[in-house]
Amino acid sequence: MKQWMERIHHYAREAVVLFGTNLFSNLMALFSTTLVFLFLSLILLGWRTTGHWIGLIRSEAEIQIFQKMADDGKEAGASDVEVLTAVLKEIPGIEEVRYVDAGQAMERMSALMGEGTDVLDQLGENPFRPFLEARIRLEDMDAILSRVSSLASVESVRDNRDILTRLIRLEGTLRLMGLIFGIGVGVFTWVLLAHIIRTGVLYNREQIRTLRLLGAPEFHIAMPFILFGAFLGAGGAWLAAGLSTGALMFLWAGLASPLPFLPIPPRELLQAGLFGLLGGAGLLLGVMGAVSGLSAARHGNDAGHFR
Amino acid sequence: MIEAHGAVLKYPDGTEALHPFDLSIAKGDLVYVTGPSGSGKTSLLHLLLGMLPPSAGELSVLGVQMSTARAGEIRKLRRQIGPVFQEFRLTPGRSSLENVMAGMRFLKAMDHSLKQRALVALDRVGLAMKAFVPIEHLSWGERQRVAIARAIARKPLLILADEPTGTLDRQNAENILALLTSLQDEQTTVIVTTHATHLLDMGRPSAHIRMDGGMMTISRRHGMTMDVNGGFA
Repeated sequence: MKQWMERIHHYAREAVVLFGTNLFSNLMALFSTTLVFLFLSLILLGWRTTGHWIGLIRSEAEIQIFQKMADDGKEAGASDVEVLTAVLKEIPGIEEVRYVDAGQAMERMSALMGEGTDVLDQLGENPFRPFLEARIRLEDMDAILSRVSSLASVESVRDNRDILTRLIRLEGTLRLMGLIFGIGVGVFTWVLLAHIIRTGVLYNREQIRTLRLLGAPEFHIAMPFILFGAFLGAGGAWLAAGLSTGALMFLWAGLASPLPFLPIPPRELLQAGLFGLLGGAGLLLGVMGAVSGLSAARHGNDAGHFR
Repeated sequence: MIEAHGAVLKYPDGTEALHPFDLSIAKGDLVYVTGPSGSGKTSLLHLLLGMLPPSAGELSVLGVQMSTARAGEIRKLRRQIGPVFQEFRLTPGRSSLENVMAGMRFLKAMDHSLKQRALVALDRVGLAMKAFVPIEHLSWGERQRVAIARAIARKPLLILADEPTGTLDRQNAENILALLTSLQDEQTTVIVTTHATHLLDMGRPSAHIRMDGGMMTISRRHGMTMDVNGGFA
C-alpha cells in the first residue's frame, strides 16, 4: 500500500513536470478547457433555471369548471357545489379544488386589468360567474378534462392547454439542446486533451523510449500522462465551476431587486453538485483524452522495426 | 545466460548487420567487443537488449527466446539488464540521482531503498557529491558515469555497456572499467564494447569478440578462437 502511495506521488510529480515542460501551451490548454466547461456550466445552469420555472408553472396548472345553472336560472346552490367539489376531488390527477364566487372572479379580473378597471365599474352589475378552480397534475390533463366534461352537472371547462403543451415542448427542446451541447463540449474537450497529451508524448519521446529500453511497464510510462490529462480536465472544469458560481452570485444579486416578480430559483439549488458534476465530467474526459492521446502517439511514433 | 546458434541480424532494407554467428556466454563472464565503427558492435547489443529481433537463427538471452518473445517478455527481460547507452539517454532537467532512480522506479522496492541504491551506485562511479546536480551541469564524462550508475544500481544479471569509456579520460576510463569488471565478483555478466584496446587486459575477460563488417571472431580466455560458424581455429 505504502509503495503504491509512493508511486502515485511520483506519478503526480511527473504530471506536474509535464505541465511545466510546455508551460505556455499547457496554460492555454487549461484556459481553453476552462472556457469550454464554462460554456457547459452555463448550459447546465440555464437548463436548471428553466426546469425550475417549468416546475413552478406545472405545479400551478389549473382548470376552471363552470357548473350548470339551476332550473330557475340561478347559480347552483351551496349543496350542489359541495357535491361537485367532492366528485372532482375523487378524480385521479386533481390535487386541489377551490370555489371562486362571482365577487372573487371580479376582483381577480380587476387586479389583472390594473388601471383599466374602470370599464368593469361601468358595467353596473358583476358580469362574472362563480366557478370551481382545480389544481391538476399536468401529465393527467387529458384524462381529467375528459372525465370532468362528462359530468352531468358541469356546463363547461376552461383550460390553458395550449400554453401548457407549449411549455412541455419547450422543456423537451431545452433538454435536447442541452444534451447536444453537452455531447459537443465533451467531444471537443476529449479531442483537445488527446491532442495536448499526444504533443506531450512526442515531446518526451526520447525519455519514453529510454524507459521502455530499461523495461518500464507501459502503465508506468502512461500514468503521468493520464494524471496530466485528468488534471487538465478536472482543473478546467473546477475553474469553470468557480467562475460560473461567481457569475451566478453577481447575477442573482442584480436580479433580485429590479425583477421581484421573476421567480428566480434559489442559488443553492442551481449550484448544488456543480463542482462535483463538472469535476467528474472533466476528470473522465481528461482520462479518456489522455488514453486516446497516448494511443495515437504510440501508433504514430513507434512505427518501424525497433521494439 | 546467452546462447546463439546461427543468429543473423538484417535491417529491413536488407543490410546484413550481423552475419550468422554462434555465441555462448555464461553467468559472471566478462566479454569485450571491439572493432571499427560500423562493424556491428552496437547492433549486437541492440539484439541482446531486444531492440531488434534476430532475422534468422536462434538467440536466447536469460532464457528468453528473442525471435519469438512477446513485448511483455522483452520488458521483463530488460528489467534484468543494465544497459549503458552510447548516447547516455539521460533526462535533462533532472538531477543525477533522479536519472539513476528513473531506471528503478518501476521495480518492486520502496523509495528510500531505491534512493539508497542510487546513491551507492553514484558513489561507486565517483559522483556521490554531484547526486543533486542537474544533468546539464555535468561534463560529458560525468554524464557517462551517471549512465553507468543507472545501469549498476538496478543490480542486473547482465550489463550491456556500449562504449562506456568513450568520453572519459584515461584515469576515469580505467576506474570505470575496473568498476565494471569488479561486477564479475557479484556474478554479473558484463559485455563491453570499446575502442580502448589498451584497456582490454583489465579484469578477467572470458572472451574477446572482434567485429568487422558484421563478422564476429571470438577469442576465448584460454587462447582458442571460435569463428563465426562456431568452429575452433
